[in-house]
Amino acid sequence: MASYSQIIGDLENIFASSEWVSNDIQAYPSNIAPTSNRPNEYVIIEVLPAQELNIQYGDEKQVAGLIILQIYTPVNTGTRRIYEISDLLDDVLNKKVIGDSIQTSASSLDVKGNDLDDPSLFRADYVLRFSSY
Amino acid sequence: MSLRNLVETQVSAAFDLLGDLKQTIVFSTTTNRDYNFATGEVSESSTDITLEGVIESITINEDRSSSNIIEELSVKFIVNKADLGDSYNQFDSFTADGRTYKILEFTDNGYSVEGIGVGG
Repeated sequence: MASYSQIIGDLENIFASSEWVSNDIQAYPSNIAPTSNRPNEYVIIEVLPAQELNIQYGDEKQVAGLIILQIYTPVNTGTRRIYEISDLLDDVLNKKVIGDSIQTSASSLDVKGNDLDDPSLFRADYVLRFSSY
Repeated sequence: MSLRNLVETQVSAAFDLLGDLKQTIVFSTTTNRDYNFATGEVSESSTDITLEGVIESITINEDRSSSNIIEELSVKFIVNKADLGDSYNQFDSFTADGRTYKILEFTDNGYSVEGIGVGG
């Protein structure tokens, strides 16, 4: 089984790659408060490796869970940008083998609406299931 | 003189009148925090601002049944906004009397900044 550290490391490496950085969309991990103002649109990365799969092949243990990318765009700008950003996330995350530890499933998009904490932002959750090996 | 300038002048005068009730406080404000996705490391820098303000201890050891040891001090602080400027954040820290406190919450009314720090 890949360690938890390896799972988060492999996933976060995606957001350091030139393929993602060239999109010019700021990404933040959970649990960090930027000291400068956040840009008009950004994503926040959450990993929930909360599902233990059946033990297979002796002591090998696998973990599965969800990868959630919270997508924020300004209100009063329609929803098209949400879908465009989701396509960009698909390019790097959808049905991929990431690093040595994660395999992702097909993505889905949950459009949430105005953000409860900051009504000037519109939020959608881009969601993937993943399994680690 | 505008009303805003008048209030600012009076707030400064009030802090002058506090005399030795004030003490030196060093605020450390965090800037340029950034997360490196390749390494998982957070980079940030810190800037110190030294000013004078009032510190009031508010620690109350309520749970006397289990222990009389005070594990963490809580204090209130109030400073002149003109001395502090704008660049401070929640969870920044300040040092007074050799103790360092983390800012848990603060209120900025435009003329003074007051808040609660824990630690020490």
